[in-house]
Amino acid sequence: MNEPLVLGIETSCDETGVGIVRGSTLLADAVASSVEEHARFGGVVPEVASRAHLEAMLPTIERACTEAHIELADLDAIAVTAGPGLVGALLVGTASAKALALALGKPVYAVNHLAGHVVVDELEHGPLPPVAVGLLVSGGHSSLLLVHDDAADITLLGATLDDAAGEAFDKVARLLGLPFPGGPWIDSAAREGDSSAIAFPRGLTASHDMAEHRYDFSFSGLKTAVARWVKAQQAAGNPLSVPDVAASFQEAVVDVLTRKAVAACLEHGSEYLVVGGGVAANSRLRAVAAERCAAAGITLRVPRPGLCTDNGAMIAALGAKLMRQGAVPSDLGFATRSVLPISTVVIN
Amino acid sequence: MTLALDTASAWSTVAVVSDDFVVSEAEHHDPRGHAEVLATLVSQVLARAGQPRIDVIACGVGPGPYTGLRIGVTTAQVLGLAWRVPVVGICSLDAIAASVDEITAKSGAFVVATDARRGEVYWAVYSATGERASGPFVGRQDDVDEATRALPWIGARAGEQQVRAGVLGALANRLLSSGEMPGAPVRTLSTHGTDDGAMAGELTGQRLLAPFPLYVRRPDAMPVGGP
Ligand SMILES: [Zn+2]
Repeated sequence: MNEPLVLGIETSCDETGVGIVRGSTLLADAVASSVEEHARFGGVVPEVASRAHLEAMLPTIERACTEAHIELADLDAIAVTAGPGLVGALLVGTASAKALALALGKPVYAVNHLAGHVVVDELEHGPLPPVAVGLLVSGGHSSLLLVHDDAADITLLGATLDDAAGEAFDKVARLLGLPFPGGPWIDSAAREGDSSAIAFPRGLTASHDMAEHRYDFSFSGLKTAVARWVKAQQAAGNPLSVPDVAASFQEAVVDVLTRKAVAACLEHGSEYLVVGGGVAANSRLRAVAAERCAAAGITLRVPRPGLCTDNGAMIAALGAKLMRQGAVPSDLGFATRSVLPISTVVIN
Repeated sequence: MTLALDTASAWSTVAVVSDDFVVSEAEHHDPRGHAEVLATLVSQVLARAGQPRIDVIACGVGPGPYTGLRIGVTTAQVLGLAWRVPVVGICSLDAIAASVDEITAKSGAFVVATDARRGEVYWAVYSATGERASGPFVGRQDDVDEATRALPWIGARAGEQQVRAGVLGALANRLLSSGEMPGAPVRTLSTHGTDDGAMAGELTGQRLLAPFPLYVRRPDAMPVGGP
């Protein structure tokens, strides 16, 4: 039997993603982003994102079909992000998926966005043997996951208690007068800077925090520390070295993320660390993660940047895997959920 | 055979309509329930109509609360793509006007208004025969009173107005058979600038529309996580 041909739709934030896979082979990955519309506001504006999803949906579906050389009627199933994410944005995707499933008479899988970030790595690097740890870092989420089966059995080890890692990058970029989204700008400014110039705090790493919040993150204190430092320099009339602040801030984020991720692997007997989300494109995060994983005998798996950021291919990949494993599809009346625990990989 | 649907009001409403005959119709009242029920309603009306071949899809394009409105428009667009049939838009206020009782309202011109929240209404003015004379607009109820003095109101004050997909589909069929062509989409993505045409009642006189939401307001510009 042929491997299932699955179309995946992703609209949880500001990217309209439509991907198509056959089994674990990627055939198309079409993404339209509304990021430029949000730049002036220094963050994603939900209503603007929702309007942009509706305008981009049809062209993006058509582009994916063209790229994959398939007709919609060829599809075996539809998969769609049902949560977590911005509810107005998610609803454009779920309404589209329901309409496609209904029109084509094919099953729909309403899936968890975070699980997609882990499964997508299998398109590039093959099956992910149990047990693995997933580190997902973006403007919307910062989570550590324990993965026994990325389409069926994932548990949450920890998450951010306040800002997401990507959000901290955006806010610090704004403090430094750098554009939105902040990640790439901080990354490139940091290359010219000294990461040990300023000792910024590492959130939730003190011993009492490690007892209570072993795998959780907190970045709002770090952001406040950067703001205070910038203000103090200005008050003292000192010139501000943007590269030094960027490098020191980035080092603080990367240090905590990688330290906790490697600890999670060692403490849960995991030989693999999968990193996903937009912040996974950060060059320093990749370098430090590679270094620390190698030292600990852990295999690091990071998809290429285009598959780290939000996309439809990751949702299609998850749908195909669910189908292969014989998972029950979702009812056409499934609810879209802005908060969806990772214990629910598929709503059924 | 036309599949008609609307989610611009508190109802999700779907119908299969042949000319002006409603073959099957289903509706569900829940201002926050459009996303859950709409696809199921579509599947029900198609089944009840005997799985007819659909030639055209007509969808209500508002104005109405955005999140719900988008469910209907997205659904219509994607069904049209998958079935390879054209999709046309109808102003949801026009569908309400078309279902107004002949005797009570059509003795003269009248206003159709729906709740736009924030103390405002979406509104348009109709002739005695139910043709939209101007609008749609959004504004404070007092200002609309000022502008439409003496005209009777259908809607807002009398409670929630219901759009009926059967009426909407029959209206679309009538316009299509008279050879009308849908206009260009009104883009209202931007939070600034002048690409918010429908705000100025630019659609006055245009009844068959592109299948895109009539937002009538620019988006609120508040990013996630605050400024
Ligand atoms: Zn994501």
